[in-house]
Amino acid sequence: MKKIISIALALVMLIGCVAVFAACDGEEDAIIVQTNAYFAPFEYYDGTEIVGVDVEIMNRVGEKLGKEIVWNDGDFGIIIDTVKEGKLADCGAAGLTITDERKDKVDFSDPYYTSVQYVILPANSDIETKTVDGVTYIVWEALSGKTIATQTDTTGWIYTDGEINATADNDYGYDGVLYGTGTKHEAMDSANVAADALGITIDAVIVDELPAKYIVANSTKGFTCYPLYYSGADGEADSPVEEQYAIAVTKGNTELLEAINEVLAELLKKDANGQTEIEKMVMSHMGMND
Amino acid sequence: MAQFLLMSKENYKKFQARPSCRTGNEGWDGFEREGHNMDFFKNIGVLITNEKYMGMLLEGLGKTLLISVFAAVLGLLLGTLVAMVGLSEGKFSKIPKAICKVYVTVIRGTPMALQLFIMAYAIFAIRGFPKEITAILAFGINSGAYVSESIRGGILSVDIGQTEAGRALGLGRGTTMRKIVIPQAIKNVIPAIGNELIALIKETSIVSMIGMYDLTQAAKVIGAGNNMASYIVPMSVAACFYLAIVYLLTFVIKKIETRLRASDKR
Repeated sequence: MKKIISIALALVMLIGCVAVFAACDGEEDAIIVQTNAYFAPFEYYDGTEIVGVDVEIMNRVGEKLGKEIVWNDGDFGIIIDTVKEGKLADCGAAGLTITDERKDKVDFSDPYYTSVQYVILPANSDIETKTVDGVTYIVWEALSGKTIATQTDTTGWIYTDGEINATADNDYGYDGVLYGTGTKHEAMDSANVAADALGITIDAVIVDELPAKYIVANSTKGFTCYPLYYSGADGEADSPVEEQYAIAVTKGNTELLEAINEVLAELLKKDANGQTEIEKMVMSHMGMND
Repeated sequence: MAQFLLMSKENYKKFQARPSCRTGNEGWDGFEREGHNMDFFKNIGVLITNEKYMGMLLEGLGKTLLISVFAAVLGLLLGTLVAMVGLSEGKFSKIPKAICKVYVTVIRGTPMALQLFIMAYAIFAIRGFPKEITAILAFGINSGAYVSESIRGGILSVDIGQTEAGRALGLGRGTTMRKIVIPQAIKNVIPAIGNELIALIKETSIVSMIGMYDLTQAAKVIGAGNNMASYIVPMSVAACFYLAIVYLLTFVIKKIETRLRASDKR
């Protein structure tokens, strides 16, 4: 019995040591990127590999610096804090929107994509749309009293949380459009999960433009999606809920930040057809160049 | 605003008209999407005959088994050690005993997901530290607390008269424990340990939380790849895998139990 126990113990320790050394060996000099790989077309799993637009961008950064890129998948909510600490990851690429709060914690690269928030509606939804100058959209007010689903900690979640819970009197310090309207907000694991319950327990899903269009285009349940707008003040036009994606880098890591910005500058140059490399990547990952 | 129009109307029409979605696309063409509840069994058939998806599930299964097996070994060793310390009566065992008590109380009293999170993002927050080791340690340490209580219960279930008889015959405390009490205790402990192992295997499904590619993560990825939120089919297949492992384990435990109880009936 003693023998078996000691052999088992030795085996566990040996494997542990080997694994630790094997891992430390190659990744000492690598760039570790924290992500949440459920955000097609920016990052998603193809088989057991993480692929997508952000992956292509970071691969070019790796080439430029002559370093290996290692992807670290995890919760979306921890990305910013992990990058802020800089111990586990050097940067975060996950279709991250630049916000002031996040800017306090990390440095952002130049924005490489502008997105708007979209609302996905089930078939026969009674939520009213508005059409101005040929653009059909939904204003926040139209969602009052409904049940809205978003992915936890995404900008869709932050906006919705703010509009429902904010008043000038509480910590938020501004008046939310949906405050006191009885609007319910459900935080979900991902927009895909939310879409599963759409039309059953949920009236609308708020998510970024491309994932929204992706879900709608692949839906057989007659989903539709429209951009989300803020109602303009008296006389002013309504404006879309717009945001910019960038790559988050640990503060002080200027070498990496500069390399990323250089790569992004190259990728954002328009070619003869007026298309940028990033746009082409998005199209290709959306399955449109086949 | 410029790139907001990236997905122009023409492009979007083209996108909608394309034959299948790109994300992990190859296999999805076979899926009947209309009313996916009705075609549940057909979709299961499509999934398990698809090499790519089965490959993903099997890779996930491998990771699940790797974590479970090593965590179980670690848990059993740790549990035995803690139980022994907990039952010792020496003068110098007060401090180790207190440590073990705190260990069992804290580990049993806090959620596994939280322990895994702390392991991954606080204790082993080391660059490039393999997540497998993190998970094995987290689950092993968690399992150890439960196992130690099972073992302690098993040892205490042996009548005190057995110990007294052993001591009266002139055997040492250690020898009495090894030769008389433990052989009888094992029989009582096996079902509880089996229970713990089963719980452990299923509980490893939360490692997808720290981004590991286990069986549950594989099923999630297949579901997400479809982007139709049709998780039910791959999740069901993954559930069958879990069921198969647990059934196999139950079978082995039953065999061991029968073998140990063979001498009970004379």
